[in-house]
Amino acid sequence: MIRIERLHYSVGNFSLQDISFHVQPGEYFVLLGPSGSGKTVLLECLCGLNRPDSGQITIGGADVTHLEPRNRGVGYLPQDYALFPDRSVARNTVYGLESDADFYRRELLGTLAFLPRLGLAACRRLAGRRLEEAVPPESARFLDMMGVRHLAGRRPGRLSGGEKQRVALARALAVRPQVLLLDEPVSALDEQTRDALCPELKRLQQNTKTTTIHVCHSLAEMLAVADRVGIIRNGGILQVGTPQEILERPRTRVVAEFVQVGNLFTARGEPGGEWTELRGPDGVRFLAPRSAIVPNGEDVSFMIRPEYIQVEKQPPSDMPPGTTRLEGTVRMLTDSGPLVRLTVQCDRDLSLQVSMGKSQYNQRRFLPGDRVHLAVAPEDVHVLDG
Amino acid sequence: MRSGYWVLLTGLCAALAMAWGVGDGTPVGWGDAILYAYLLVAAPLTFLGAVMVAVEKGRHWLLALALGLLGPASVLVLPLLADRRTSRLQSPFFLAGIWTVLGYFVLGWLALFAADIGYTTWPALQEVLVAKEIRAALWLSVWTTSVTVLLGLAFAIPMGYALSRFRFPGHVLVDSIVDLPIILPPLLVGLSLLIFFQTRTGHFIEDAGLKFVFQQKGIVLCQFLASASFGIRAVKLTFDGIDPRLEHVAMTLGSTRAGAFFRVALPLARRGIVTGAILIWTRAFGIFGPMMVFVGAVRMRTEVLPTTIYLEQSVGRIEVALAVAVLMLVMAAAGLIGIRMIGLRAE
Repeated sequence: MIRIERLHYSVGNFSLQDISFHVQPGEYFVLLGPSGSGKTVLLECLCGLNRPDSGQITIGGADVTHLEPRNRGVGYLPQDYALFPDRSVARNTVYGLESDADFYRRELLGTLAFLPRLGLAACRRLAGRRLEEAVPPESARFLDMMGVRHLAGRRPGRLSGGEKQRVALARALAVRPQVLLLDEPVSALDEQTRDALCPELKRLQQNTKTTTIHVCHSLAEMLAVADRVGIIRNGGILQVGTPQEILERPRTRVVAEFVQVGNLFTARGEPGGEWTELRGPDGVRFLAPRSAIVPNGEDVSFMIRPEYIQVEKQPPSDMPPGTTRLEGTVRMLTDSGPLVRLTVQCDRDLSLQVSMGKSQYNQRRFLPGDRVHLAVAPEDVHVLDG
Repeated sequence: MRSGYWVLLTGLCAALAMAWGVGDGTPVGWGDAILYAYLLVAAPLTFLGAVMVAVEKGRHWLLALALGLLGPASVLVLPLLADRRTSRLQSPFFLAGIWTVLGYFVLGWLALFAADIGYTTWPALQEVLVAKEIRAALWLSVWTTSVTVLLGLAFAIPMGYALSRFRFPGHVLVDSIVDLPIILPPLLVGLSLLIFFQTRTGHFIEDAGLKFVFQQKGIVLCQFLASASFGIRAVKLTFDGIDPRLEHVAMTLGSTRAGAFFRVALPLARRGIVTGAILIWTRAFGIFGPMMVFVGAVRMRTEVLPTTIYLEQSVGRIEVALAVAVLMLVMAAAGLIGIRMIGLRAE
């Protein structure tokens, strides 16, 4: 649906370098990156508000790299929604349904009818009432879809953040875009509204089957909506994949840090016979699958997701071959409701994050100070590319 | 001290109180406390001072009383006029500060107008209304300033937009050139124009059939050059306050670049454009210096209303000059209200 090939764009000191990724039709794609990573600039390139220096953007098979924003079939939701402050909600929604030519014609007639209208307004004021602004029927559908029909007569200045977002979505969807581009659509909202709106965005996207690119900096927000995600940092795409791929198999250390993997270590790799052995500077030794490509004798980064570490009070028996066994003391316990996270200090200067479900925890009841035994299967040791 | 100075001092204190009282209105420091105390003392003293002067001089006692009451009234009465619903949020001192300053300014000007009207005699006013020279000047003033406003806006809107939205090499230079006519004396516009039309380029323009020197067209040119900067400045500031993202969204919703400007930015800038029009018109309506130099002051041909005032007072017919002034006053009020009504019709 959307193909971006070798896109370069620079503005001031900042530049997007060699951005390439594809988005499938009907997909909810999230661009995730810290602030200043170039997410918004990239989105503006897709809208046509920034002209790329080189590269190609295709939407629905058509090359749109040099097209005007209006001819690209994109619906754009900027960060602060940018509702037209002088128009009511209903008239905001119909903006895209009226052409420029219609507008010019209407304004011209309005100017000619200036004096009669002034008279009419005076009569109305004398009669002591203002006519209720009628909701244009073509906008009603989209206002209904977003559940903001009752706000039709209001000005944007009198809406809450969540309401503004819905109105802006209704306005963007009214032109039936092929692609919806959302720039941090929920960042400005409070946490509760955010939690409620993310699934709603996802549902809306599934109902309308509109290909969507959503820019955000929050991991939780990404997990709530994304079909696939692209990690962007310093103007470059680091990795594209499903949320699970990104979380479990981050390609580089930077991505791993960004998606907050608990256990991230540096070690020297030694390809062995059956397993690849990873030996850290502090003497830690983990076994990874043989398939993990490790340059001999060089430092590599590897990670273990906290939820894949098995923890027991007794030394576990009948472990599959290649399992790394460790022993340690529980130092800290964080209970975040559904998940419990332990910090286990192993012998030898090594501390591991371990997490488990609440019910699993309730069966074992680890407490700070307990001695525990850890086991890590080799396939859960993921070696990073860089 | 003279009571007049007391009146001024009260106003000054009120202004300071306004600056201080921006908080929640309760005195928070010694500065506030001293100031408020002084305000409370100064207000009655103003009143007393005014009464003393009245007793001493034995005349104008009513005027002195009115002026003397202005201070206390502003402190004690005006806060009561404030909106009931919000008055809890505003301290009386803060309001007194604002209203005193406003009151002095408005009353000062009303006094000047009143003096003008008081000095004008009915026969002079009648003479002004029937004299065909003055009617010609009136008509000339009306149409030249109207054309100047339209011409000024035709420049101010695109220029204000360009200066606000785009950063280009020489931006600072263009910005400064726009401001120059605001600083320079208007007379210089006429002088510069006169010199310019002596140059080769000037002659070329005149030979091409566009004659300005000593022509009515020249009046428009003078007014335009002396006043357009005010409009450009006002319009630019308005566009500065309009988020360019609104236009970006409009462009994704099917508008062209121009469409986004006409449908989104321009309607939002309406107030600023009206302000610009008012600034252009007021300046154009009031000046006569450049015209005296560039088009002369020929009766029935190049004489606008300000020129009339100057000509009449220079030959000693003060009451006629003032009658014209009263006429201008009425026109100015009508003009300001008219521009606002046309400009803000939909609101």
